Amino acid sequence: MIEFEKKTLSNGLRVIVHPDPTSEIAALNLVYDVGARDEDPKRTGFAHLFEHLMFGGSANIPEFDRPLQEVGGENNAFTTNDITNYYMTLPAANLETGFWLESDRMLNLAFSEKSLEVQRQVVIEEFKQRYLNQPYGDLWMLLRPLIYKQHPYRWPTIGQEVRHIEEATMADVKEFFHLHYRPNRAVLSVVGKVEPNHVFELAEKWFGPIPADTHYQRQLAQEPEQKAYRRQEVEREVPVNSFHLAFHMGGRNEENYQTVDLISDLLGRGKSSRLYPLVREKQLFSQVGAFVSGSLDPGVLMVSGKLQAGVAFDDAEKAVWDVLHELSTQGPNDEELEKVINKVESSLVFAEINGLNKAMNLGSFELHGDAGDINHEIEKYRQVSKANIQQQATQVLRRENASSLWYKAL
Amino acid sequence: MSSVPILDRSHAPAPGAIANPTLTPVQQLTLDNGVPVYIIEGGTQEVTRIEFAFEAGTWHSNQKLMAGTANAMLTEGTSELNGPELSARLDGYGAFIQNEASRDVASIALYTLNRFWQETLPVFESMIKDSKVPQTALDIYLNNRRQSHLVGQEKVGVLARQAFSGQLFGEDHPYGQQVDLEDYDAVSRAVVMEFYQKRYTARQASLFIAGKPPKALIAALNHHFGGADWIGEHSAPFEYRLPDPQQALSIEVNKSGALQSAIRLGRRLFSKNHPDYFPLQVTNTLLGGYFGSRLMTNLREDKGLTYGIGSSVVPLRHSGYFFISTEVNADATAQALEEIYKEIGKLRETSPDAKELERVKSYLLGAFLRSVSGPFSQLEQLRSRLFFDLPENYIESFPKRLQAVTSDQVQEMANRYWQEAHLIQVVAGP
Repeated sequence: MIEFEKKTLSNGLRVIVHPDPTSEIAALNLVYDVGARDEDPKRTGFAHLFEHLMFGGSANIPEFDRPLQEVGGENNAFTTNDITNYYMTLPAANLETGFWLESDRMLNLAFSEKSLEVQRQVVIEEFKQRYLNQPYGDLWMLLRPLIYKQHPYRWPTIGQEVRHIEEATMADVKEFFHLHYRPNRAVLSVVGKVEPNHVFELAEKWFGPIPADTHYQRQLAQEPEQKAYRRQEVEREVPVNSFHLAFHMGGRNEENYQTVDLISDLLGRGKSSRLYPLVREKQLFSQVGAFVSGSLDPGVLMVSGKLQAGVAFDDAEKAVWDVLHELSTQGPNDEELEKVINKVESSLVFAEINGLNKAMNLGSFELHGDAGDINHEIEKYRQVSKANIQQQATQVLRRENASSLWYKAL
Repeated sequence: MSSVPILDRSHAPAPGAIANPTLTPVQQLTLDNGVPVYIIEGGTQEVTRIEFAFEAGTWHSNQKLMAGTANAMLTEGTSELNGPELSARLDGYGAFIQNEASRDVASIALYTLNRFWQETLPVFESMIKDSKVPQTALDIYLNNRRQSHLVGQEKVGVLARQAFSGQLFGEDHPYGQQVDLEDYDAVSRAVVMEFYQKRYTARQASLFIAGKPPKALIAALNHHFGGADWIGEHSAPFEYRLPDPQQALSIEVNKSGALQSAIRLGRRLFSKNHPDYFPLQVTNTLLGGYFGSRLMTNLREDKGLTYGIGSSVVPLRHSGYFFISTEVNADATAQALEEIYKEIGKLRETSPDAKELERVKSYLLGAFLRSVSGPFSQLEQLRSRLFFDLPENYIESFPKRLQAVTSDQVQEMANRYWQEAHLIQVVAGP
């Protein structure tokens, strides 16, 4: 149970505080409701490039990192297809420095040409280092357009191609900032040895004067229902064959999300899962697992594995389908379902040890609904029945709903 | 009447006083068979972490891959349960196992919800005391390691790291050993069992507990782990010869088709109890140890040559090393190297100004506070202190030791340890 207090400023910024008197280090998280899905298909990678620019100086503060380092703080950020999340930890006594810094870059950026030029290069090197110059680095660049034909999830956060990043202009940057980086499109959460009222005062003082803007209306292309099985085969200079099978499922806030998440656990979480015999007894895979993407718009359940040497893709895929089919037709047993639910519960409990984790989770729950939902998450998992599992397995794990990628070693 | 002051956004709010952290006292006890136990109680969640450290690292075997294999096999089967059954048993109670072997030590930790410790602790006990290293699981594990090895050989970063550590410590030394594909074939069940039986014993063990352990759990430790049944033999210390100190050397590893080059640059140094370790660590932070460092500022934030660059001073139990590492566009390799040497040279020639050193110290003080925040983090610090045989006040004296480092000392460290004549340079790329 995470107890918190919440206040919404008149400009729409939502502020969440969870006091933890045991932590002298405070965590401050600011999540913006903008991700790669909000990008123009001709300017992909922009949300992420923009995240880099947020460190290039703001209206009144030439450098973001230095003043924070000077008070013992540390910070970073990440971009997903759904959100852009900025976070820092610093001694609770210096919390106001965090408010000063974060509010100034929400107020206005410096928009320096140099920063844009340099960060453009940095992001291009990141593109190479993480996606192009790594074995299997282009996996999601292949999978996304295979799974999504219309929805903007069809490109990765780094961008569809390097050219889009090369072509970004300062005008694009400014437009993006003014559209998305507004208080009414953000949630601020603070965890640590802090007083809620003091935090609310700081929020009012530093963020209160920043005007809201409600111009952005999210209208994303929705993904049409998949009607037929898809398969793509590619050959790459990699040492081992790699197999991937993706199924469309609902979004993070949809009714059956927890059920499908549990299905992925039953299938592929750890050595006691249903897919593991394909490694241990059948020796078709050297490793195999399953997970859900957890995205806000309809996401994917993914089964992924590395093939043993000499195993044909056909045989490996057929064996996976047999496991899926068995779950759809027979459902799970009691013990098995209890096991995966217990594991979810303990993951949630262990995640709450870390203050920064708590701040991030409170922020994202609030952004996408209500911070209070964080305390009802486990109940939702507990309510999932064997019949729910079987029904959703039948619904999701269908051939017409599947996209298969055979990533072959040359 | 008071008026609302105009908000001054151009100046930072006055910094608050950072209190020295209050460390939770360590409870210490000894099991009947001599295993030392360290407990740090605290936190808000009803969970406990129970971690064994064993003298069972790469250092403790003459055969390659042994430490990692024996450690990984702990979760793969006992006389009563096979790997999937062990996993199901713990999963059923929402428990986790975390195990790893490093160059100097191997460990296995159980994370358990307090309400299930009576169910999970015996499973954990059997993994440690009754590992059977099943052939099937061993084959799967080695096969996976072979595959990861092959994947690693495709990464310029991995190639540079291997060549670098081989050069620093020599390929016959456990810190520098190079693994080839055929080494995986030489690992048999019999030799893994032999290593396990020698090294995973009470005499080689220390026990670390953090969180909110129930009293009954502490009382039950002797029952589970305090017996003579797994006490084991005394073992002779291992001795290895390090190669002579090195002169500057430049190594190129060819990886055709790579888009980027990985650069690794550094030298062999010393362990954590060396008197220069701490000031050198501060010096290193300034050079490449945090986001505001000189290397990051120059190569990334000013020139956009790389996604990231960093440097570290790494202590090992019997040695240590300093290294800088980055990946850059292949065409920019020469420029990047030039800038790196320029930054090291500047630090040798001029002592940093007070403001920069203050910033580094503030950053490090914050990092220190984070590193002792909560019982789990504090236990990590304690483990490190004991492991490197450091004085009892080593952790709490951090702020004082930090304050004592001067600008001149930083320059002195750079001159003493970062002469180009002693730096080994590796570039892996096209």
